Amino acid sequence: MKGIMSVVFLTCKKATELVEKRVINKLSPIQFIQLKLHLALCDACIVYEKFSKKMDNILAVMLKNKRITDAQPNEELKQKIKNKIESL
Amino acid sequence: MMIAKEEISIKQQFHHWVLEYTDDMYRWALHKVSHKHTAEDIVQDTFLSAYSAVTSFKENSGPKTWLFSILNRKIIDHYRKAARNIEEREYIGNRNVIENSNELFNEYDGWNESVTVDFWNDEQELLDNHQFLTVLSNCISKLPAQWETSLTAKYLLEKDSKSICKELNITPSNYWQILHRAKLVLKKCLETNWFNH
Repeated sequence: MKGIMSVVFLTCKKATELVEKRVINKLSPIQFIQLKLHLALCDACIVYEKFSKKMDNILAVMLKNKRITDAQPNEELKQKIKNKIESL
Repeated sequence: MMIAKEEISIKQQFHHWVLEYTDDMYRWALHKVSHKHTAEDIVQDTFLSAYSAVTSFKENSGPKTWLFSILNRKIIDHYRKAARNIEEREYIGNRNVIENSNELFNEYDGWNESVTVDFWNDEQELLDNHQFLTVLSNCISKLPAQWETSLTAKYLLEKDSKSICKELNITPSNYWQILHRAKLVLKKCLETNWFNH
C-alpha cells in the first residue's frame, strides 16, 4: 500500500521539481498525472507554481532592461584598456 | 631607436583599435557571458593578448576579424574555466544555500511552513517598483554563481534550453534541478525581505 501511495501522491518537494521540469523537458505521462493530482490537492504547491511563472515573466523584463543599460557604449572601459596598453 | 619608434606606432595603432572596436567587442562578450564585469575583463584581456601577439596579425585578415578571433577564444576559455569550477563551488561554497533550500521542506518533503497566500497578483506593479527590483536583485546576487547563471541565461542568451545546457556544460536534469533550487531560495528570500517588511 505504501508503494502505491508514493506512486499516486508526490511529495511537495518532488511536485515543485516537476513544475520546473515541465518547462525544460516534457513530463512523462505518469509524471503529468502525478503533478495534476498533486496540484489539485495542494494549495502551497499551487502558490509555488504561480510564483515560478510570475518570476519567469518578471526576470525576463528585468534582465532585458538591464542588458540594454549594460550594453551602452563603455567609455570607461576604453580608457582603462588604453591606459593598460600605454603602461606595457 | 627603430624598435622604440615601432613600439610607439603599434601603441598608436592599438589606441585607434580600442576606440574603434571596443563597443562591438564588449557587446558581443556581454551577449555571450551575460555579466557586465566579466565581459569587460574579457575584452581588456583580449586587447592585452593581441598586443603581445601583434606579430601574428596578418594585414589581409583585417584587425576586427583578428581581434574577434582572440575574443572568441577568451570567451571559450571563460566557459571552460567556469565548468571546471562548478563541482567545486557546488560542494564547498554553496553548501549553505543548498541546506537553506532543503530547509523549506520537512522530513517528509512537504512544505515546512506552508505559504498559501498568493502575494503574486500584480506583476506589473512589482516591475514598476524600484524597491522591489532592488530586493530581487539582491536575492539573485546571493545565489551561487552557477545557479545565478542558470537562472538568468534563459533571458540573457535568448536561447532554447538545449543550447543553454550545452553552453553551461550541464545536463537538462541538472538544469531544471538548479532552477528549482534557485527559485525556492528566491521565494524564501522575497517572502522574508519583501512581503514581510
